[in-house]
Amino acid sequence: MKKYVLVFIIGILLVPAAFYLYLRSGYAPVSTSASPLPFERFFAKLAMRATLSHDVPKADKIPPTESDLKAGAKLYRANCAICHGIPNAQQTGISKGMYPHPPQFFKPGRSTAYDSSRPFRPANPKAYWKVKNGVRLTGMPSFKGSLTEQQIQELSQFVGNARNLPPSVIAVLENNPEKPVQATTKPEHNHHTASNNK
Amino acid sequence: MGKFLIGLLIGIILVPTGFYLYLRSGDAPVATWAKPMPMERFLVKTAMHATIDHHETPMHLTNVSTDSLVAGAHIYLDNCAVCHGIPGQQPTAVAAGMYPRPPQFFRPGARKIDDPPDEVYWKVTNGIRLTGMPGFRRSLNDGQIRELTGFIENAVSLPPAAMAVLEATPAKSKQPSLPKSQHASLKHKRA
Repeated sequence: MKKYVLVFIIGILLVPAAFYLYLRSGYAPVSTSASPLPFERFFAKLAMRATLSHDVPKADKIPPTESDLKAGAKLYRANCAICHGIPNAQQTGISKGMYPHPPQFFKPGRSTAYDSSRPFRPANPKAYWKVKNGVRLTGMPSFKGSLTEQQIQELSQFVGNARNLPPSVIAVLENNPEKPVQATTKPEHNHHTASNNK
Repeated sequence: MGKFLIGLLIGIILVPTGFYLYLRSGDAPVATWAKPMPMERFLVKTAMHATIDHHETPMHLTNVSTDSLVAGAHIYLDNCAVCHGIPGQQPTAVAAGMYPRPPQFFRPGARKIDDPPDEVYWKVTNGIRLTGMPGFRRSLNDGQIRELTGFIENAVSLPPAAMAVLEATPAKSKQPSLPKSQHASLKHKRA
């Protein structure tokens, strides 16, 4: 019996030891272009789904108006576009080089033709959770320290309707490169210190 | 002997099962502001250093010219500043919300980075998976990555010409902005 317990413990210790040696070997995937770790996607999705079902995201069930979507578009342009893309522009180097790859909401070839007969969809609660809390080990930031509840709501409404946006909303995305919105930092953080390197 | 193997097998199977149940529970950290997983930092650093030591190309920086630092500053602004910061400005919302946090090269009191040039070169080229750090091998060429490496190694002691490039960005564009190529393609489209 004693022997039995001993092997049992050896078995338990063997797994982390092997994993450690695997990482130690220099052959584990570290570069963003390497193939995933064994079971990586499986475990990551598992944890994501379990967390979401645990911490039920609250998002408005009321469908957005066109002006909500415009507000969302401005926030998207300033905070998300660099990784998640905008219509008719090439993907940035940042976005291309990340692992996991950030989902592209405006893939070339994906139709963005507006169908005004389709009603706007309410905010996607999962998108709301992700914008608010971020997703660790992916590059997706949490915006709860820099955007208000309402802004997070507008962003998740915008994202949920990315495939059916009226031209006025698309225009906000495309025509604003020179003046991004001042919404990314809370006022108290927003002091412009003169540089001391001049 | 049979008993021996069974005990060993049960022990081996128990570990992934425990890990599976941990993730399954909904208490594993998923939000970027949650506490790290047990031993996360240790395991991740082990893998990163082992890989880089294995594969890095030796790179020596000697007499980095001002021109090359200025070129590096432009590349930095377009590709890195969103996450790694600009002198005298607060981190962007993107940088502040990520996990792991991107190092801020120009935060007040920042010292020269510890990473030797070959390590920086490797990280810029290949990226670091599961951190948000992109690999730029498909969007920057070798010369650009070298300029960027020289720039990052000298971030705390830049000549005024290179500082001027960073500071020329209007304060409001400290928010994530798209690289120039995108602006250009947009303008082109509208024209």
